[in-house]
Amino acid sequence: MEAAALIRIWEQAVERLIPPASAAAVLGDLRESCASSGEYVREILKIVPFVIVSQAARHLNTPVLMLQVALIYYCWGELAAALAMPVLMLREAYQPLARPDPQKALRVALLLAFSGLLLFIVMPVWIEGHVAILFTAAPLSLVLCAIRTSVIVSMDRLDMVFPQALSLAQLAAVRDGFLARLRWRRRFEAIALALAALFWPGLIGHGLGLSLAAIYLAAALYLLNGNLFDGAKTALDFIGLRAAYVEEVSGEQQLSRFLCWLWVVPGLILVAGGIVPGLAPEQLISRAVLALLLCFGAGAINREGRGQVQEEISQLSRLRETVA
Amino acid sequence: METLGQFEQVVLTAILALGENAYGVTIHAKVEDLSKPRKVARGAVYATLDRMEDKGLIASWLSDPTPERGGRSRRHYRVEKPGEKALRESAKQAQRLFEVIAGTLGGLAWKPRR
Repeated sequence: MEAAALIRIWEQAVERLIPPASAAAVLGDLRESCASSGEYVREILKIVPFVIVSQAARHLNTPVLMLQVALIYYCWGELAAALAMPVLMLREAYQPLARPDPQKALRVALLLAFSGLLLFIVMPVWIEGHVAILFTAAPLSLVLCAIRTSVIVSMDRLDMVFPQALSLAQLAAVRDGFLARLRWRRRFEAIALALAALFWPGLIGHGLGLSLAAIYLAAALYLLNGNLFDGAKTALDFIGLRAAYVEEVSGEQQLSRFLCWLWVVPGLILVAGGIVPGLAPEQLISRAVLALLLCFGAGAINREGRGQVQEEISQLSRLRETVA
Repeated sequence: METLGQFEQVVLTAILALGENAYGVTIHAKVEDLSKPRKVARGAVYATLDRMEDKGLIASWLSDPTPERGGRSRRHYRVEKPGEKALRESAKQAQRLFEVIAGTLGGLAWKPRR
């Protein structure tokens, strides 16, 4: 078999190993520079670990990771938290460049409804309720599918489609519009966070409630910081402006992910805090379902939002400059 | 201002030297050339490019897909203003080091222009 055909086979084999954000550039570079399949394999083995670590670090949202690990620790203990951490970090590296396929998203919703509730069954303290829990999975999967579908449909309406080419002035106007909308949204979110912070000590209890209130207030102050998305990078050429815009879109999405999880935390603490040994099966089921719904809702919103931003970044990366 | 590591200096210099033709393959080749006799892993170059882009030292964009790359785009890179500034600072520091070494040990044939 000739070298080019062998390289193509190797390409197909390793395509899934390379994080999607780097795949096109890395595989294209290898195709261009490798003359034999042996060289191709040697190169790929040297590249993949670097690229995975680099993409994991690049997309890592430390506050979100900390929140997620803290929640897992709170609900399932230290072993689950320790196991979940590398998985969550690797998931960051392999985030897709586009929104998830709707069919796949619905299949995942079905799977999650059953496996999520199955998790509660294997826990020995609640063994009495296991049959009832299984019966709950079927209707729950429908609810999860409905949530997923509504998130997909609502996000489709917000599609940002760039033309293939824009002038510098047009790109600057698009970016200014984005920053202006962002400033207003952040102000509203800061007020909402500050108001919510007042309720947590009373609702959750003083220790955890006060800590949560402090995090909410810190987040609100951060959002009100005038330097955030100040649009100072105005004296730029097309490439510079495009890079600044990509950075801002990406940063905004990371912040949105954190805020989304931050809103979920109090609900999960309240729900998980009420799951104790000896709980009646119906109460256990309702709490387990509520916890699943909260996590699933936040996950669905974040996945769609992240996919949408990745699509936007891809379009921006290919955007050409036209003379106004 | 951003301080550059030694490998970052080499990668930034390679991008600067390549101008509009700076993408993965050419950057790696130039970095190997600048780092002689040391061999450089291509993965390390990709990781450094990602890191420097996150720091705002370089900007990247995608070209049109080409058949010789299996229908894939090239990711081109360019040094941004903060990158230029950091590189100038590194060059000044290297020049100071060179002067001390040349003054103390002597025997260095090449001397940079002031």
